[in-house]
Amino acid sequence: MLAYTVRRLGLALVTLWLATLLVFGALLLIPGNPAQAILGIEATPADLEALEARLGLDKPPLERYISWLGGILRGDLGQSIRYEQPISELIVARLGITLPIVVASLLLATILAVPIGILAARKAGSPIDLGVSVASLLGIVLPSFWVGLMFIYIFVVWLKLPLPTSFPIGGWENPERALAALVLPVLTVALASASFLVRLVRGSVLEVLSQEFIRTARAKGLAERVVLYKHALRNAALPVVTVLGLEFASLLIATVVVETVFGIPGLGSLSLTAISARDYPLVQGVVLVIAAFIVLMNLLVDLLYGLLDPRVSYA
Amino acid sequence: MKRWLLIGVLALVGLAWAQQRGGSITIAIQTEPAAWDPTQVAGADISRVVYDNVLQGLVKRNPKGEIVPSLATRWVVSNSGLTYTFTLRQGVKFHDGSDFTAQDVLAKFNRARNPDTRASGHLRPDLYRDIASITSPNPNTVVFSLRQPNNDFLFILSRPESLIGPRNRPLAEQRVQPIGTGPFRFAAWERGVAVRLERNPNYYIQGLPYLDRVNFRFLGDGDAQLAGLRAGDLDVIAYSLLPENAVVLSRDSNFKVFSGSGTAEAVAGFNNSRPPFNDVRVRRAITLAINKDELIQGAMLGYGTKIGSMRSPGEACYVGLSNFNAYNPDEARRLLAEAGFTNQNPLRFTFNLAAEFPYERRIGEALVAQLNKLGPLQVTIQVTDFNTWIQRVFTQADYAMTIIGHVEANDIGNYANPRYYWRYNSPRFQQLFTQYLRAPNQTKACEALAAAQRLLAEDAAGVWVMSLPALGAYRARVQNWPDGFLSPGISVAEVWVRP
Repeated sequence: MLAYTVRRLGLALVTLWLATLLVFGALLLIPGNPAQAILGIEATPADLEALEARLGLDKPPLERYISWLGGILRGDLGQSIRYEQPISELIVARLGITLPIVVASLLLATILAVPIGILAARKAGSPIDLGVSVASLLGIVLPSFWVGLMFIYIFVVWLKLPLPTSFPIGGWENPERALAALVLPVLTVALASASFLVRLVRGSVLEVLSQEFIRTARAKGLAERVVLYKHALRNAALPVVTVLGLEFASLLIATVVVETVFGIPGLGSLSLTAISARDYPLVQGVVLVIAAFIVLMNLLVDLLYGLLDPRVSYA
Repeated sequence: MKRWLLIGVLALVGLAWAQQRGGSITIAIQTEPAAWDPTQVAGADISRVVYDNVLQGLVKRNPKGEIVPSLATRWVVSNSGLTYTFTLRQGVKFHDGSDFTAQDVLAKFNRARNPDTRASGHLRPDLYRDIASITSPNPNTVVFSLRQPNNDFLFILSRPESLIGPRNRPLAEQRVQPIGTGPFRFAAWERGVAVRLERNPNYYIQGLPYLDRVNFRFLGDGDAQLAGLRAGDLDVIAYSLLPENAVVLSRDSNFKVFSGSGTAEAVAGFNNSRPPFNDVRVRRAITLAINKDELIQGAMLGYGTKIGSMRSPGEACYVGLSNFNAYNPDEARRLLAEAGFTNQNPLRFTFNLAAEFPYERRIGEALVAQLNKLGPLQVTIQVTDFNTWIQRVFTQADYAMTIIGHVEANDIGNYANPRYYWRYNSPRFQQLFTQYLRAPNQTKACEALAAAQRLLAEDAAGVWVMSLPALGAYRARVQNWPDGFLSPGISVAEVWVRP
């Protein structure tokens, strides 16, 4: 198990390095440059040249990449071009908002989706199942920017709940306001995730229920409750855990739509700003952090497999 | 009579009392600039926040677009137009407590006119090229000597690039936390969220500002802005309110919608240097194929002012040309046929749009639809992000036609620069513009500028679709919002709120 983990971590480092190389190459291919993004259209070519010199953009790309990589090896993500701030500070501040949203949304989604999915699977074909199917389909197809706006109108404008519609100025200095500001975004993200999970749980449970060991368990005369919770669920959990791990990592960026609607300065909007500003080091920093999360979640999911299913072993 | 006078005085006093001191407001702006010192980094949103709120210059443009005293209380221009003598306001302090002196003015403009921008870190030294010397004969006076008369000189001094900070302030610090003499000090910049301004307790105008705190919140999404305003998290949407949201808000007595003509022209620009748009017949045909009234009504729900050249109605020396080359599809088809384009052999070209600008994007899309309806035109839209647009269209001029808002005031001079992305190279226009700059008096200057506007329209050097509306809204508790949109800044010194 330990050897496996170490090997996986080694592989993870290579993956991360490849990711940075890929992103760096992609950024070289798209047109535009950060100095122009900063100066806009009223500046002269001389202004542009001076700014490029200040930002070190007059150096060749390979030299910039190598010096960036050197920084990473020393544990320094470098300086953002756009914000003139250490990238690590920017990312930590944004993660401090995005992580709570993602964790809370996934928790809420799981709490909702697992019982509903099981219920739908047990009553497969019934009106309840049909209702769950339709509702979860709606939850998936309704775009989250629209759902978010509707939540604002329903909860804040009509029901007059004291929820901020955007992250408060001052941020976590004002913890109650900040937490309150995350309620609607979490609901919005959780709705989409839960809809998707419900279908997964239902399918997964249905599949397990049709397997032979379940028939055996039932034939042994075990109570349906025991069959379901002891035998079926544990097996049905594997695909759900896998998807939850992937969902976690992808939500770190995918919340960008919700962040835009709710004016939340999260990791998604940071990456969007970084890309549109052609802030190369910042894009690379964000990608590196997200890739690290993906690799870590995959590792965690694999290790969880071993706990959930004794047949899986990494010896 | 006396009694009426007394009542009048009392009413005035009452009004003065009504202006509450204290409180705070949050104003939504669309983008987050990369820095806050307009002498180092360009951007309309930088000026909107800091101009006359945080940083001030010798003179300023008020909301009506008039150039009025700011850090200079008065000025005298010599008859030759070569010497400008400014009397400085006394007893002014920067936000860091240091005194504002003539030395700060000298340091500022010597830095501004240094052609080595790498050393100075100052934008646009070309603006200050006509300055021969700056001296300070006594601590209250600063004298600019020019090499040649320049009718735009006061205007240049009113530009955001001419704002003045303390002479010893490191540039890197001024970028992230500008220090000036304005009614508000720059308290904090929360990256990705907002800028916070706080009252300058030592402001030199007694009683101002009224507000304790002003926040400028960065919110790019028009619907998120609307939701924030309705929920009470925002007090003002300063500009870029979507027309359909303006219609909704104007029906609600809790909000006030304001709109007016500012200095932003929506310019559907041609690449004048290469086919097909190096042919004036084709440019004129495109102009005639565009129904501006329909665009204003349809795409902007009536918000916007029709124009016919590179100038907005509120600006000085404006000439009304909005019906010049007015919508005439038959004439457009005739001109295109003359140039060799028919329904069978249509003119095909690509129209570039930058995704980030909601007004220009919807106007551009509707405009292309009008062109495609004509018959002999087949226009394809290409939408890219603004950065790509800047590189391809603006820097490399690798395009046929595009649209973008030109926010700056008095920016007709861009057509005098053949390297500008419109690639309009007209010696006649360049001559007229020089005549304007060097004219001995205002009348002559305006004559030249009027001729320049007419020449652009005759040449169909671009399609000036409309003066974009300065369209915003505020909650009814906000009082005394600036009435006019011709200043680079959103000056909030005299804004107050009902509790």
